[in-house]
Amino acid sequence: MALEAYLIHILILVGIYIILALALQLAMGFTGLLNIGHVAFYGIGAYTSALLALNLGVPFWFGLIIGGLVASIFGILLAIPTTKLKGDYLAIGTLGFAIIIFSILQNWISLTNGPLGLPGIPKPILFGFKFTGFSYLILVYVFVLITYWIVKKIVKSPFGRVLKAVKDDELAASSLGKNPIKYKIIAFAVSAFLAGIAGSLYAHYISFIDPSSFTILESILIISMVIIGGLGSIGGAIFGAAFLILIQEPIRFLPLPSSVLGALRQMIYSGLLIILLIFKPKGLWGGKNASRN
Amino acid sequence: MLLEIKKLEKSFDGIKAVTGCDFAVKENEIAALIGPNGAGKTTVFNLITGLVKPDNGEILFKGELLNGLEPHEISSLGIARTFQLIRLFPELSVMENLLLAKQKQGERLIKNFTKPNFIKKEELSNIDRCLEFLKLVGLEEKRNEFAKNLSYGQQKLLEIARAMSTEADLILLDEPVAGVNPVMRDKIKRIIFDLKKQGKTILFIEHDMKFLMDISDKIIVMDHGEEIAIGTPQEIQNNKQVAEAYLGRKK
Repeated sequence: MALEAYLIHILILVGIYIILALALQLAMGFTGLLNIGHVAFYGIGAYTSALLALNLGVPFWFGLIIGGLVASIFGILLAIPTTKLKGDYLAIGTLGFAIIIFSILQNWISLTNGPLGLPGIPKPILFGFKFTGFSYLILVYVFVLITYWIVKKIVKSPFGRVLKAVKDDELAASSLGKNPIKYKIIAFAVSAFLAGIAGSLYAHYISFIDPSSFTILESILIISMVIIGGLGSIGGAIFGAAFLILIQEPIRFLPLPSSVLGALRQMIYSGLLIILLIFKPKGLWGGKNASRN
Repeated sequence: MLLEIKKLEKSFDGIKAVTGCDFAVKENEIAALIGPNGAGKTTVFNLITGLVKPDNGEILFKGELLNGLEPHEISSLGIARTFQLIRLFPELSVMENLLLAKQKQGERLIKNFTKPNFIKKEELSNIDRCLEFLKLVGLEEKRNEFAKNLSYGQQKLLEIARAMSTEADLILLDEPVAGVNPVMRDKIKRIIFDLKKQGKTILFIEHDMKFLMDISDKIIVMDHGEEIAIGTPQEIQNNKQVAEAYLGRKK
């Protein structure tokens, strides 16, 4: 039973990170927006949905959607001033955003309970059925499938083609009548919405959230997933998320004292990243996206 | 007049690039914009297409003032262009490059989810239309190739085809035959004549004298940011001031 619970736990985490990585792939891989603040949308979704459930008794299903929408509104608010920035500057702008959101979660104690976090977030209930353990796993993967479908549909659509054009050459796109700022804002909003959904799924699964789950390090992890999987590849985002979560697990079981193990895990993990980026700079799944038509 | 430029001025950090430029292009005309390097020709193109904003003066297209409009708004009014240094979408296929030139419903996110069948039909008819343009420039075989894998000459052709696909009334070509071999040059010449036959208006920058004397209805000569002569190819060939601008004044 313990092993089964452990596997379910890992697979649920994999599912949540797949949603986060797919959402980031849309903004970063397809639209070229280097967003270091992705984790902030994840946190906003988690806290919105958790606070609605704890303070107002809002059911998970509504909390999830509202969490996504609130994240999406923040996405638009962030996009309006920052999409005029490019590359490094955009990265720094979004980094600042992530730090602001983290500080709010940490310091607005009357709302968020600060570093003590929010315990007792209820599990989703549908017609008297409580999602927990295996059924929660199924629930997460239903959302993974929906996210996959949405991102795939967007990327294959004429709308997605404009996103790729904006990424390739913004000026050429605007001289063909496309408003690059409009497209970037929409990409940001959709990406933030999906990250918000992932946040809500996380909060109601883990039942306790605090600001430490939503630090910049988490953003870096998701960015690594997208890059290791392959920028601009849907399969890559899925693969990268699964790979980076699963690779950390076997190291846990090495017969070493936990003080050594923690450091060793970090070392093996970062060593692998460096090796991969040297030998597979396009990502493990990249470079396969053949053109169509 | 399709395009009117009136007393146009633009400086960059105190350096005057365009200093009171005046000219006009008639409908269905092939007009060449020539002049020594640094005369301000490309800046005029950038001003017309909204990439840079004028300090003074007016740009009128079909009688409408373009000053202050964004590049995508100007494009939507019916002005397409190519760039001196080719600007394709290198990571997209040849066909995708052309499809982007079309303004369509499918570029609205929501429509892709609410009217998928309509969008699919629209896309297919756009592909058919773009295929015609690709045939015109002889790149239909390459339609699934990444744009970055084309040769320099093919990339030039693709960029022209992309400008054509917008179905704009005014097409601005920035050095269409620079660095292109003679066979390709003749092909581009034919394409420009074809565009004229379809009723389009073309304004182009070029240094290849033989090429531009052959095809132009009108030549506008610029030097030091202003027009110094406007006329037919014969008139320009016999203009003393133009010769001086290019070759220097006799001592």
